[in-house]
Amino acid sequence: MNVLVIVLFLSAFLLTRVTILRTAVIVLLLQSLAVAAACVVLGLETSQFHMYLAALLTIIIKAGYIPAALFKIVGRLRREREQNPILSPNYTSLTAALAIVLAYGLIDQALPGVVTRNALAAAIALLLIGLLIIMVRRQAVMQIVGLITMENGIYLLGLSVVKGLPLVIEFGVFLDILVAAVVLVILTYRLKISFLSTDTTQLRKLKG
Amino acid sequence: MAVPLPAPVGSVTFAIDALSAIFILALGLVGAAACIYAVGYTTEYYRNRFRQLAGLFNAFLLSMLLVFSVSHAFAFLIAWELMAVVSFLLVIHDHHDAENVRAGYIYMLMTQLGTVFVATAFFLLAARAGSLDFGRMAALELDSRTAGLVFLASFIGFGTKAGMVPLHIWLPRAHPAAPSHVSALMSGIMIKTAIYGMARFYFDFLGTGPLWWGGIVLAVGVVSAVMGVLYALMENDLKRLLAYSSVENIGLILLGIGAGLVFAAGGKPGLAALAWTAALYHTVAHAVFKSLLFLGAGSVVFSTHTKNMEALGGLIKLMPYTAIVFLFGAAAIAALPPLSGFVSEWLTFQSLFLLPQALDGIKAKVAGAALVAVLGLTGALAAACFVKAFGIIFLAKPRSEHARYAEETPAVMWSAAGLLAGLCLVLGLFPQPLLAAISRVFAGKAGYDASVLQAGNWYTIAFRQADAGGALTPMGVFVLLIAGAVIAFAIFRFRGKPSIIGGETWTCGIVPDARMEYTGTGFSKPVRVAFRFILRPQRETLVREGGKYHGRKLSYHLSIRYIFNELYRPLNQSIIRVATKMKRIQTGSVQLYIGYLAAVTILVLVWNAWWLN
Repeated sequence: MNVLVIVLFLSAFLLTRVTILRTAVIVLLLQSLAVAAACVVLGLETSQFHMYLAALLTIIIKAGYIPAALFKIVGRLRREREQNPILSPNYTSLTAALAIVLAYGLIDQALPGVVTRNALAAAIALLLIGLLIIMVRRQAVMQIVGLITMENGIYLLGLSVVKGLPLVIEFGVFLDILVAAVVLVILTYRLKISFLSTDTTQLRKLKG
Repeated sequence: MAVPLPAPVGSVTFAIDALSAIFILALGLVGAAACIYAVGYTTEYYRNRFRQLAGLFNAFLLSMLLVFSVSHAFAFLIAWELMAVVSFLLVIHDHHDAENVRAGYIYMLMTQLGTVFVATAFFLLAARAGSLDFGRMAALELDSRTAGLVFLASFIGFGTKAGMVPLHIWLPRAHPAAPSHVSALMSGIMIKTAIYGMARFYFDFLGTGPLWWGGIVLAVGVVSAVMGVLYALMENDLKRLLAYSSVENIGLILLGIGAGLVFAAGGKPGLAALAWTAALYHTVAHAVFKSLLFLGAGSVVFSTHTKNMEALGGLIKLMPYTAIVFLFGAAAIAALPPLSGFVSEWLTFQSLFLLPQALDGIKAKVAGAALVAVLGLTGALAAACFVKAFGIIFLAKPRSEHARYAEETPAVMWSAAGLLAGLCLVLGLFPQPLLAAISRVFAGKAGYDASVLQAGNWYTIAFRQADAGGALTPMGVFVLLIAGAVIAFAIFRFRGKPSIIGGETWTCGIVPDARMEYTGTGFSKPVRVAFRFILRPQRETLVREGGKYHGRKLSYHLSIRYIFNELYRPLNQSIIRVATKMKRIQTGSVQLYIGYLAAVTILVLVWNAWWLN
């Protein structure tokens, strides 16, 4: 489990540094696979069948369909890349590190001596870093990546707090993220068509 | 009756007591007439979202019935809001006219403001009672500070819906904007839901309070009555005239309620019951004749497609039935015997005459007596207002092509209005059954004693008590009127046959035409001049074309200042100022918005972890 937590931290750090959209999607895919692996590990520990089902769903949706859709759109956006982001990658990484410190601090304050300390901290760190990526990146695809990262964080939080949610809720969560990803991909296409660029700072023009 | 609903509402109770019954009676009478009328009137809307109109109209009736019958604060607020939303949609039904949409939004804004206060009043009570049920709230004993707060909140909240000055600004805009059968319900019943709310609060929940409660209600009532009737008299838009007249009548009802509160505070249970009876009787009477007038106005609009009185005239020859039923309404609202308005206004006068009895100190006594004079002024101005409305619309010659080719409405329309006209007469001649029903409201209420109203028989209404007595014989008045008419006719008939010589009207050699007629603006001029210190009329005359002596065309523009609308200006400006400042954080940047979110999230997380532990 700790290996997986390290992989998640690593993926989050990588996301703060990449500027090429395709690389970002690959990192996201790896991150989702790590979350799926965490599900399997928990399934082995608690021997609950539906954890495997959750892992399967994670692989299908977060490591399968969503990255595929993102790869497809990235293929069309050959010229797009993260140029002069709002916060440079170095500072972003530094902020991400601060976020991890904050996450550990939060866990130690709120739940001192909890068994799944590392997993919980990783979950909160993923949440904060996802938010950070949405905040400091201009490209729409990068923002989708940030959103899925946040979603992975929330999912991991659910896993490590209560050892897995009821299956119905997990279905709901997956449906939610699926719909969100579909809508966002469509909107990114529209952005490309309307503004000839997927730079979200263009949206400033919509203000009345 | 209790209906169990899922949490958190709990079970919703319905209860119809004597108070609800009176309002439901009014709703039933007016609603039935409006429904019959709508059969003819809404033929105009067949191509204009007719199904939506019909559905909303019925939902509107249902929501008002719910307001009157639920006995549970939460359900009451839901029904109250349902009524607001449905009536908002009805107001903006003709949404092609930007003016209507604007009226709708002002209405929505004001009614939401009112709901805030109503909800505050209910929740203050519910917090003390530990229950949302009306029965538990009524059983509550409140300390005087809470009771005062609840009184103020409920008065402002319900007063907004009632359209009392200065919270009336939505009423003259919204009521004319709706289709006429809806206007009839809005003016007839919807604003009375507020009177119902006040009665519910002051009877059941609060009981007798200090003297200043009644004082506030009387002050607001008298201002509403005078200002409402003055603006009505100045108005040349028929439906707006009726809407302003509703403001006046709400003022009269508030005068009754205020007098009732003063009497209750002063320990005069009999007079308190009398004043409340006046208010409730006027509520029902006004519901009937104001709906009648709105239905009549709707018929005029239906036939001529204009609401501007200056473009009407001479309709009595073209629409005789509508003219007669409108005349009934106009006479009733001008409080002429033997119609319903006379009875309620007589009761209101009686209670105000006796007001000084409950007051101590010479200043208060003089103020109480002055109210009677102001009420008299209001009555006279209301009579003038409806003489103007009837005279300008139905008499003389048509002032425009619209009026020249008007036709009588279908029978279903004028007969529905005729039903209400008959009711005006019945309520004027036989007020006893309704008075008996109203006196049942006071049974078992501390501080009220309805027994003094019971004296009287089928031809008279009377109240007796040790210090004052009064009686009214509507039948006697009626018989006197008939006798007067018979005598007048007899004198006319037996003084010899008058000779009739036909001839043309001499008008200095030109053909008499409609432009020589008295206009609505002209009719109201004496009042405008007399009250110019409040109305502040401004005139503008422009010579448009023509020579020095003849053939000149003038355009004349007259406006009056609505001083109460100016109260809202500072509020408007400060809201705009705050909004402009708020705009600075709305940069349009997605990243910045996410930044706000992130900041709040981290703040909440940190706050939870460090400060709460």
